[in-house]
Amino acid sequence: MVAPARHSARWRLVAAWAVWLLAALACCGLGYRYVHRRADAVTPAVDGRAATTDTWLAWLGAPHPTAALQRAAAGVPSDRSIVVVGPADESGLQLAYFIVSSLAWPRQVSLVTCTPDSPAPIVVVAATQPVGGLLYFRLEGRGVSMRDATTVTPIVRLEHTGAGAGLWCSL
Amino acid sequence: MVFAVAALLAVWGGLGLTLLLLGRGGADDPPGAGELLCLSMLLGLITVTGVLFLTGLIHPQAAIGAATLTCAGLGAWGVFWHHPTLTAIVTRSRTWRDWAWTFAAIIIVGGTTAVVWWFSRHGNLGFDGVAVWEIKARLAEVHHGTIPSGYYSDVTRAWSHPLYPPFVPLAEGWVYRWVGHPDQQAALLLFPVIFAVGAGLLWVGGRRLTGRRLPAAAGPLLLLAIPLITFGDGAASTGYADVPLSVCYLGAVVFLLDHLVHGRTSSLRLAAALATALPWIKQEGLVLFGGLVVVIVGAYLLRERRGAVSRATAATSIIGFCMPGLVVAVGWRVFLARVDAIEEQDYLPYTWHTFSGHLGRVGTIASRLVDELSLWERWALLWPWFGATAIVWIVVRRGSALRAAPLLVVLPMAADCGVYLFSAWTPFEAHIDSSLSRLLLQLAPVAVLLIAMSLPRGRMAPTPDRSAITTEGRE
Repeated sequence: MVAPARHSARWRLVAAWAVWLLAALACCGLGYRYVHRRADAVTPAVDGRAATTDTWLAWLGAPHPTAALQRAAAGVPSDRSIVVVGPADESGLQLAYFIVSSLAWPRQVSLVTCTPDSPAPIVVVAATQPVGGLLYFRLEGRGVSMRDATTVTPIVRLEHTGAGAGLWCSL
Repeated sequence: MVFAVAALLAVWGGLGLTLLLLGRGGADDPPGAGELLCLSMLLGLITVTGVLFLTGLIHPQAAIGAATLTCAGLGAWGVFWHHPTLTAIVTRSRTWRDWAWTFAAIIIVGGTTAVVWWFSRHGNLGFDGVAVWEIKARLAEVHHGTIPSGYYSDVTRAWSHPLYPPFVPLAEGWVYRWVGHPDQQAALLLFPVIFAVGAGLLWVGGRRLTGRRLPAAAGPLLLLAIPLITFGDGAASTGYADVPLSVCYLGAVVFLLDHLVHGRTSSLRLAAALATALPWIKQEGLVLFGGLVVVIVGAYLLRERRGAVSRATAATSIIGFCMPGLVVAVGWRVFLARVDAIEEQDYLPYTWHTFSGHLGRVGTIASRLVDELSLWERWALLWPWFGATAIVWIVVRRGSALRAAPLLVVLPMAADCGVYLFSAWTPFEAHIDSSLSRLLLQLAPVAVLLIAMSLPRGRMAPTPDRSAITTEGRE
């Protein structure tokens, strides 16, 4: 009576091995195939310290947009905030705002969007510090004054101002 | 080059801490060299970030110096006081078979890591990698390696989740300070290293818990078969905190199960140290920590009832395991309250009223979970295979100390899904779609470990975990 039990245990072991190996082959085959397919689709990243953010900001039209924005932000006094102003339909604006915010510490960074139809800009993120500079994205000819305006990239300019945050509704 | 200095310094500190946690028993039952390296890397980064944070509370200007001195001192302390452990590792006699398996481990762990490294080198940080984590690392870089307290209450930076714990940003900030400037490519390099630690811990877990090498070798290979671990939001190549959290959880699980199976108190200390870091890496770490607490409390209560351990031993072990993690979790909340951190609006209050009012979401959550688990392009066959393994596991391992191990995946998964009952997003389905895959990623390495451990034995022999023993008196 012992032999058949051992025999059956052996077959159970063989079956367990077969099932496990089949599952492993299927899982690895499927998974590695997806990884390989994705590797083929990878576009080479930009080189440099700010590889990721430079890729995201490529639409600003400058060779090193992250460094350019950082230099612009550094030009605003550190106890003043920066207002990022841009068209509401610009898909990269919010991402650019996040990046400016990450570069501009200790300055607060607020976000204001404009639409052609609406007379008043929309304050998406409001700052509590007094305003020290305006970063216009793709808004040529807008702003209170063109004095002290600095070109950051072909489509971004920084306007130094000491005006209060409440004035942005007059844009 | 400078990145290597930052990493080596952390590893040196971690080596000292690991040797101290192994204690004097480390020389009698020495760990493998790879195991020591993995633990040193993980515990080193935890030490560095912890010291940076604590010093930042008192004297931020001294943070980098304090972390450097701590690593140097801790490493020297551990190595000189516990050099017999290191000596035992070096002088242990090895057969040609041991050398062959060591070579195989290097090829498998190195090869899988190379794939992740390739994706890191050719890809970019993910959105959260920049907007949630790297932004704080940049602040740390310009603020002596610590995050300035004003950041947490800054209304214009509330979108960057100031409430999230600072392990990842402080680790990246540590690298930035050594490199001398923020460098997103250097930050990206950290994550393949952490993946390598995860692959190494899968090897360690398979070896320790089964006593065999084939499951150890299968673990890292299966881990690489999960596409989401390599690319996509949350992957090891995108700078998210989910892979570091999953690796730390894997380490805690490996050493907790090792303690429950073999009764090594040094393993309990290592498990407690790694579990302590879970709420330090990400908020969801608290859920994972909770899963570990349920398993250890359950295991000790059963043993105490059977008379296998005394009540005092059970209480000491449970408290020793739980207290450090609780201190970290509570301490972080106290810190956030002290700096007037901006409360996030992602969740409604955790009240019975909210819970009962949103029970209607259960069907949708379950449906989304099933959809997610069967997304082959993210998970391959991981979850169906894990489901089958868990059922067989619980049936077959009756009487084993490892019987409850699948709960370490199932319980956190249920808790993660339950949190969506409190989601404040409208519609809440968007919240599930944006985060569920990353929550599951945190559990994936442990699921892989259990699958690898379920590899049948070559001969009809009893499994080592059948001999679950008492936990008293063994180092």
